[in-house]
Amino acid sequence: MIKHQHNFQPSTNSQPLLEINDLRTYFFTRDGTVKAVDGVSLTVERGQIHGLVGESGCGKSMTAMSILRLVDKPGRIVSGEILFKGEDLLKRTRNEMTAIRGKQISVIFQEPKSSLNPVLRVGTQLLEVLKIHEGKQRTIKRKDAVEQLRSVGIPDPDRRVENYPHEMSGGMAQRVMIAMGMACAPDLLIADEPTTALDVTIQAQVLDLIRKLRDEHEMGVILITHDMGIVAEMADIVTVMYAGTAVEEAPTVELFETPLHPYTQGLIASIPVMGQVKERLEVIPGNVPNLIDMPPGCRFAPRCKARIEHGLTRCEVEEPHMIEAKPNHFVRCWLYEGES
Amino acid sequence: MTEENLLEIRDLKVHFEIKSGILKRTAGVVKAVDGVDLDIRRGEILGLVGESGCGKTTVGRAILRLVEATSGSVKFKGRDIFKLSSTEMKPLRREMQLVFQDPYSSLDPRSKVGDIVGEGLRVHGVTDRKERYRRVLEALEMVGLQEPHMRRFPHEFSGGQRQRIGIARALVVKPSFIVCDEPVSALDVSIQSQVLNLLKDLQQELDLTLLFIAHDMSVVEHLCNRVAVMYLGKIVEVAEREELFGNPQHPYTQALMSAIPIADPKVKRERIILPGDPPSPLRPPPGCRFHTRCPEAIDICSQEIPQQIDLGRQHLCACHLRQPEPDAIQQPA
Amino acid sequence: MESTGQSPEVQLAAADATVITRPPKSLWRETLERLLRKPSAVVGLVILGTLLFIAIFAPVLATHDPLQVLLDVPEEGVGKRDKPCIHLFGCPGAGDSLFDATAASDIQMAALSATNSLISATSDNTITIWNRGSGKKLMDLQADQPIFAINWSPNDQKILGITEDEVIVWDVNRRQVDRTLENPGEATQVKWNADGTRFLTASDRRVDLWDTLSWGVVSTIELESDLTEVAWNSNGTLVMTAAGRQVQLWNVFTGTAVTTLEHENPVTSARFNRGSTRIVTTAGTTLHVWNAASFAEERVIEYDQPLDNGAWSEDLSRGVERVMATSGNTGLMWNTRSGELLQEFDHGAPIEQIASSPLATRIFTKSEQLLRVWDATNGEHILSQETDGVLTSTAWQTNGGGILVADGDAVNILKTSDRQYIMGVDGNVRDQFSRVIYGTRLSLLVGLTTVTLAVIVGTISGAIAGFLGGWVDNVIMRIMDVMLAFPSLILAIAVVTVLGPGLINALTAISIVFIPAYARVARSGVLSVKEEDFVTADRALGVSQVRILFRRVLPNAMAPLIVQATLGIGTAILDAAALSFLGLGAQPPTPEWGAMLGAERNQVFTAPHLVFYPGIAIMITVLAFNLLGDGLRDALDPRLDR
Repeated sequence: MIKHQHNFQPSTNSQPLLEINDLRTYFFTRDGTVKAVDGVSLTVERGQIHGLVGESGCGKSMTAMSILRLVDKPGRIVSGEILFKGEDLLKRTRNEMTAIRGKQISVIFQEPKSSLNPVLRVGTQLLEVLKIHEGKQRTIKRKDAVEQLRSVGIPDPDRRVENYPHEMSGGMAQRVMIAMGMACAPDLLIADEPTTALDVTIQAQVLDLIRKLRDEHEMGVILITHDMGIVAEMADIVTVMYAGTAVEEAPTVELFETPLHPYTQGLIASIPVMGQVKERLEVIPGNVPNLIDMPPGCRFAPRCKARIEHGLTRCEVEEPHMIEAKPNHFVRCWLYEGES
Repeated sequence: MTEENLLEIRDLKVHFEIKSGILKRTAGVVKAVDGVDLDIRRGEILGLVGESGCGKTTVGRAILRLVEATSGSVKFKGRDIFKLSSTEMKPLRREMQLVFQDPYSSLDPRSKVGDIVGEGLRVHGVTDRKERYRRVLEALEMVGLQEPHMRRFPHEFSGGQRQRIGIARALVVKPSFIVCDEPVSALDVSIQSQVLNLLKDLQQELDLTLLFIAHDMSVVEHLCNRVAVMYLGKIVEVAEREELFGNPQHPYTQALMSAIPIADPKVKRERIILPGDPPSPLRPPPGCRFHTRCPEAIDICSQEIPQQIDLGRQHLCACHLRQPEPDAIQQPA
Repeated sequence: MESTGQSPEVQLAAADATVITRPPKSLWRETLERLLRKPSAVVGLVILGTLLFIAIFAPVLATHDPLQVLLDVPEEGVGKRDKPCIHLFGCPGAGDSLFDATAASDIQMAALSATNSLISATSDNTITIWNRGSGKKLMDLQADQPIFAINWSPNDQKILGITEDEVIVWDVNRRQVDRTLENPGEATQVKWNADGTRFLTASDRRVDLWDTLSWGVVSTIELESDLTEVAWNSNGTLVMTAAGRQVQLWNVFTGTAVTTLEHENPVTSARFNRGSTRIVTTAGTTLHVWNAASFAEERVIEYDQPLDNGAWSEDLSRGVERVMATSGNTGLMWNTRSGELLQEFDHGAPIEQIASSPLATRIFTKSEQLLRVWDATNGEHILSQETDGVLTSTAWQTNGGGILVADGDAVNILKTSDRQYIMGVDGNVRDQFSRVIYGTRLSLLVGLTTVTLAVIVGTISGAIAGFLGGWVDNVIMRIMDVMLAFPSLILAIAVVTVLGPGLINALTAISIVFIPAYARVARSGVLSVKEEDFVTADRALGVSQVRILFRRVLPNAMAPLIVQATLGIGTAILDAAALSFLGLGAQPPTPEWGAMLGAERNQVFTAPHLVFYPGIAIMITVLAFNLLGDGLRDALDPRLDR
């Protein structure tokens, strides 16, 4: 284990590590404006795993890309604030962002094999990260790379350092990604579907690793996934996203015990849980909406049984706001906002 | 051959040769499926689980003779289908169908849905256009789609709908057996339940026999009557659903089940974390394939291949360390 | 929303089913829409549409038959490699001037040199000479006394002139007098013979025949009456005189009369035809046609008025044999053989001269201040030119495209043809515009057939190779490798050498050369599509291999083929043009653009229009296919399928 100089703030204030306020990222295409992220707010504290869960097209990956300001044309971050350690990342210059990425905020992606350069050895890529961010302060040596690999649990790291990505299995390649992400002891780790491409048994290893690293470094983690099981196991706090907005946010146990938003309820009810066999799974009828030119009102309204059961009319007209329905439990739904 | 077995698979082996060099010499053999014995009973949903590379997809394809097996036999309704010529095989194909994993590549993008679904009817002698129309419509309605959808093209549908079209295509020829090859793995979570419910309903209504191939055990537990677990080309455990999930015997099954994240934060378990990576099917370990990662491995495990033993209550397990104990109920380790 | 009593599931299910509200859109429609969104592809399509239109409506759009030599039509006034002429852009039309110059003073006589490259105008003592092409004045030739008449020598080298006392021979090249001879006795006319070896001088009653070797009078002809006409025949063996009632033909060497043609009335005109096979004479109200070899009278034509100005209008290659005369204000034309009166031209003023263009398509009639041009075939009036001054000389250009006109002090050449040649005329005197238009058909046909054949053969072999694999694949692809190893043009040349030149053979050669590329594309497409799930699904259903190949695999593997094929059409057209350029493809007179380029490639500087237009045509066509092909490549992008 390498002990790095931690760049912690003296934690006298309870300033969150990351605070996103009303982030909006839109894609301006020929067919219309795709509102990929449309009003997302969330906070990540140090040492906290914040799970960001939702289905395809809900905007969770794009939120991550927006934090890192890796959004390309025709997409653009339209409005909002991303406060990282108090400073708005959206106001940073490109050079500043480049310095932050990889050092203070790291990312690991879904497909390790396509995130690694296939023509370079693994060790070279690891050293490159180190050189970019710490090269000015000290000489980077091969053994630094070996140590990194060891710290993520890769057996026989001295030999593995010379491997090319294609010589490694998926699980091992993902560990290498994690090593690269952790190389500079970041304050915030964004893991975008880190285990989706991996087998279940390997997934267990990788998740375990992430948890261990979080414990050791007191790192904040944004864990993006579509798997409710992973969220239930790993996350301290969960934000559920649907069609570009956050619809519910709560501590994990609270969310699973009493899900408030009809989408969350439907989601949880529709997943088969091992050990709890149901005769029939709940179904959320319909499909994820087209993100271009969405009709007004709540995005989930066309698929919401609760709306019909409670006879609500507001849902199709006006979009609800995120309110604190219970302590620390936020939800965006007219069911809880009261008719006013 | 028992009356109630629709399929009897004996010692199925599918080996792929890797050829290299100018003379195309065999450089290696991938033993994707290496001696699988399995019975599939009439009217049941048999789940076949395992991780990637275990050979479950290959088993499914080999049964349907979409991939030629290297050796072994598959008896369908008593007949060894490997011995049939392609002409003799054709009418049988009507009875054995396949649902694919990827909804985006399983439908011909250039044909209308009605034609895609109706292709099977055309091959099996339904020449009358009106009759085909009727039966295609019937199949589509069975999966929750409607008449106008027949004239649309696949790219106009969502993933879940495409998967239902694939199911309709399999159903339209009125098969008795369907291999479902990871049919919900590529779908969004909220759509998975739609398709799973649909499969369950259809199986009951039409009295189908399903081989449900998956890697997600919670889905398997929900849907299947019996479950078989595969590892590196071999079946390591087979049991009725409650028996398998309540009393998993094989160390791999135990590790697999403990690795699956449960969507319920209150359930706390001790995780069995398997060390290392699965070995490559090019160089499977000697003896029991699992011994390199098994927390309980002993000497014999690396020397002898374990046989499938009936532990009682029709619970089959291929492990040197497990013996039939008819009345003992073991707590999961 | 009111509860309708249905369960929430049912109500929501209704929403689920109507995901699609637009009409079904096949992938082909989608491809077309994507294609039309790309401006360059639209440009390509528009150009191709235009080319197709041109190809289909070529007979309507072309001004001429592309194979027709214009001189054979005949179109008079057109010459080899004439530059493009469009009236809108300043090219002169009928009635415009081809040449315009002014002499120092009133012109008594103007003439075109024998080759029509120089123009002379005689005023008083001076002969002014201009270059006809550039319009520049070249020289002034002086004499001491007023010049009565001049005559150009057959090769433009010399001019003979006659003054009161002298016969002067000027050397045109050296711009000076070559020699002076004594005027034998009040001669007022002077004429060279056809080869410039002799000339005659004539006065009222006397014709002297001179020799240019000795520069002396060789023989003299004495006449009994005043001379009306004197002329050489075409081979210089005879001289014809018309005087009084007699027309006589004299042997040039001996100076004796060979024959005398007697008339009842005084002869008003006598003329040889071109080639001197016939003679026309007018006397009183009759016109006589004589055979100039046997001197027999072939025909006598009666008219009710006195006739004058006998002239010929003949084009023996077309069987046109006509004889003309004038009577007062009317010009007349008869069929020589039948004697039938064909046309009457009402000039409106006393006609002094009637003359036919060299290929007998047009006639002019001239009076003192009026010139009229007529169509010889239907008698229609084409144009008229009134002058302020007196029209002194009028004569047809040798190529029949214009009439030399001198009035007052101005000398012009009046253009008589109204033809436009949009892209000029090629080396075989064919209209290039029509050839380029018809060439569109050929090029499009060439491009489409070669590629279609190559695609069919290539796709079948490649698809079979990809689908069946194994040794079949190996054999087929190795053959293709061998074919691909040859540079395409060299292979095409080899094939054409074996089969012989010609457009069909060139097509075959190019097709063969293209096959391997399509085979490869088809094979790779088949290989990748073959593994797709929807193909496996068909196999699971028991669909036959053949049906799978044609119904599922090929349509989905088509995209790269379509792109390659479209781009290939451009290359095929280029290759065909190259082969024709080298003489191995289309043979003359086929109007294929490459052949047109090849035929005129040496004329780049002298007749650039002959290289420019076919070249541009090839370029635009190939460009259009390239633009379309590029557009298709983007439009058929596989991302389309999601």
